[in-house]
Order: sequence, then C-alpha cells, then structure tokens
Amino acid sequence: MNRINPLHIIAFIVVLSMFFTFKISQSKDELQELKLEYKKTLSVATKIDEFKKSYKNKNLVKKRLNKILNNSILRKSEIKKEVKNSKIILIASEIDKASLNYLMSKLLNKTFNITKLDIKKIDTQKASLKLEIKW
Amino acid sequence: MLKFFTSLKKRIRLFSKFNKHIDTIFLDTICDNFHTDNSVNIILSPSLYWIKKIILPVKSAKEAKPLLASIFEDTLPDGAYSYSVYKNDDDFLAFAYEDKKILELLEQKGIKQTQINNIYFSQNEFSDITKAMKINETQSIFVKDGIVVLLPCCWIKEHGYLNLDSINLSKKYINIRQYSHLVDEKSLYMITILSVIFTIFVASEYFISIQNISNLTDKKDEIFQKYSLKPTMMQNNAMLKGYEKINKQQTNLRVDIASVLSLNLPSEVKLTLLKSTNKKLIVHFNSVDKNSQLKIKQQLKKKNLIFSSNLKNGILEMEFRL
Repeated sequence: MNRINPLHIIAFIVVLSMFFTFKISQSKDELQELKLEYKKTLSVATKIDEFKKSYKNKNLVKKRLNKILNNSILRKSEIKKEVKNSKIILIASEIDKASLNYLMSKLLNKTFNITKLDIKKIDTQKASLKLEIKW
Repeated sequence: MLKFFTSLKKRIRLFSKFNKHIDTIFLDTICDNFHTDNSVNIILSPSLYWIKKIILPVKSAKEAKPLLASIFEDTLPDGAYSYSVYKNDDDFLAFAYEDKKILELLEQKGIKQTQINNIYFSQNEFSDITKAMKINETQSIFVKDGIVVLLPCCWIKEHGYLNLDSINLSKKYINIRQYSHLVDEKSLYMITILSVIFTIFVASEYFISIQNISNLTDKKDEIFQKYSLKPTMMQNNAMLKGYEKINKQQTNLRVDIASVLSLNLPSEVKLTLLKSTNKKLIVHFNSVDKNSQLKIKQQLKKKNLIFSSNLKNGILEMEFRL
C-alpha cells in the first residue's frame, strides 16, 4: 500500500512553500528596513566625514592656515599664532587694511570653525585682530 | 519523482516488515469484520476488480499499461478506475479496480489505511487452485479457463477452504490511492513537481533575501569602520547634529559679515568693530545719526537678517544672532 500519499507530500510542500512565502515577506520587510537604515547610515557617515574634514581635522586646519599666513602680503603684519590643544589663536596688534582684507577673505572662504573674532579699527588704514579657530 | 516515491515506499515497507507481524486477509463485500491491530496483506475477491485476458501487440506490461483505459472503456460501469496489468505467457492479464470502493470497504470491515501492507488480486494468488475454495457461507472461488472467478457455493458440490496462514504471496501487488477518484496519477505527479518547483523558487528567493540581508549588514559594518563612527546611531546622529550646528553658525557668520561689509554706508559712517563670540556677531558703526541708522536697518532687513540695534552717542551697536 502506498503509505506516503503524494497528496500528503503536496500538502507538506504547500505548507513548506507557505512557510517560505511568510519568511520571504518577513525578510523582504527586514531587507527594506535595512536598506533604508544603510542609506541613512551612509548619509550620516559621509556628512560626519565631510564635517570632520572641514572643521575637525587638526592637521588640515594647520596646513591650510599656514599656507594663508605664509603669503607675502601678511608677512609684514606680524601675526602671532598661538597653537593650543584644540584651537589656534591669531593675534595682530596692528594689521593694515590690505592684509586684513586678504586674511579675512581667505579665512571666510574656507571652512574654518571661527569661534571668536575681534576686529577693532585703529585708524583709517589699520586695525587690531584677534581670531580663534577650533577643531 | 515516481522512482523516489517507489523507493521510499519500498524502504518503509521493508522496515515495517521487520518490525510488525503481518496478517493476510481475504477481502470480499460479504465477509465478517476483521479484528486485528497488525499490518495486513489483503487479497481482493474477484468481486472487487474486473479482469480481462487479452493479447496485445506489445512486449511488456509497461507498454500495455497506457492502453488499459481504452481496453476497459466499454466494459466498465461509471466510476474512477485504476488499472494494472501483468504479462501471462503469450497474453496479458489486465485489471481494473476502484481505489475508493476498496478503501471504503476496508474501512467498513475494520481495517485502517495505516494497517494496509500490500494488496493482491485473487487472480495472482489463487490461479493454481485445483478445486473450488469456499470464501464464505454463500460463495466460492474457482479457476475457469485460467481466470479466478466467484461462484455461488450451491453451484459446486466439492470445495475446499482457503488457508491464508500458509499462503506464499506473489510479488504482484497494487497500490491503492486514496484520492484517485479526484485526481489521476499523472496530474498528481505534475502537481507535485510544480509544487516542488514553486517551493524551490520560493526557498531560493528566501535564501537570496537572507544573503542580501547578510551582505547589507556587512556593508553597514564596513561603513562604521571606514568612517570611524560611534557604536550606536544615536551617538552618531548627536555628533552630526553638533556638526550641523557648527556649520550653521559658521555659514551665518559669513553671511552676516558679507552683508555688513556690502552695506552702502553714508560717507561719514565708518565700521569700527566686528566682533563674534558666543553665537552672536556684534558690529559697531560710528558717526551714525537717526537717518543713517534707518538706512542701514532698511538695507539689512531687505537681506532678511535678524538683528537688534542701539544708537548711543553716534555709535550704532548692532547684534546679529548666529
């Protein structure tokens, strides 16, 4: 006698396929969720990375700043540079108009995290400067 | 698929033979109920099948099997029949039987489907009897022209009694299918094959999906490593929020300074102080009168800047929130 009825096997297969169908719908939901999570993580990661490079990269900040300060226009202004653990302070007791324009245009056009700025007019041609950049 | 089922069935049968005692019973519509819990080999009475002795232009039973339905077509009453055929010297013995009818009769007589071991035709088991054998009070079986037939007892004077205990059963048994009246064997296997294909498809889809999840999880972990992220997204979101705040302040600082420096000031008005600290930008202009203050304020308002201003002793103090 045919003890294993083909219909029982069909029923078993149908149950099995229902099980897999259910698992597929679960895993597809999970996959969809994971895809969104992945995109979000990637977006957060790239943004953080960009911000880190822009504002938090100590070496890059120093390198870019030195490049600006080494320009011949600024040499005569005697800008003092104080480097601390997480910041750099630029001080110039007297800076002429052209140097100040050059310095500020360079600093403001790059992504420095300028936390303090103090420019006081001394006379029509000169000003004092104190500027703090953090990383 | 068919071979797989057959092989599986044989293995199960072999296994059950070693583990159970098997009784042999003779099944007829007129017989007492059976009282046994053992597995049973069933010999079908001629009343439960149709038989034809035929000569066919084929060599084997396998070749003959597809022809059986048409051979019995005009003979059988309406019903769902299964067919079986065995080669017998130069001719063939073709059988037709109703699975459902046999199963229902077995159930009536107290035999569960799980007890059934094999089912045999009387034709194959009793073809060598030399005299009539009584099967119940009213009927006997008898071989006439090589065919086992069922006869009323009163037709034959001399008869013996069936002894099923010492019978050596042939290897010619049949498989009864429970739903043969609903769906034929070919369709059943076709459905099985399609179901298996569908299941394989669904299962592979599932495993692909699982693999994708695993790959994506790995990629996500790689992002954490590559960008040196904090262990939780809550920490990373907080970090991003902090950076965005810095970025916003720095952008506002630049926009505000650019706006102040691009002001169209009266010739006597000069910018004397530009100070940024603690989330605000302070700007001082000197030599400012009410009229000049108004002009400066109007220009800044046009640029949608938020600020406060205070004119004191000709010095206009302006404060921009970053």
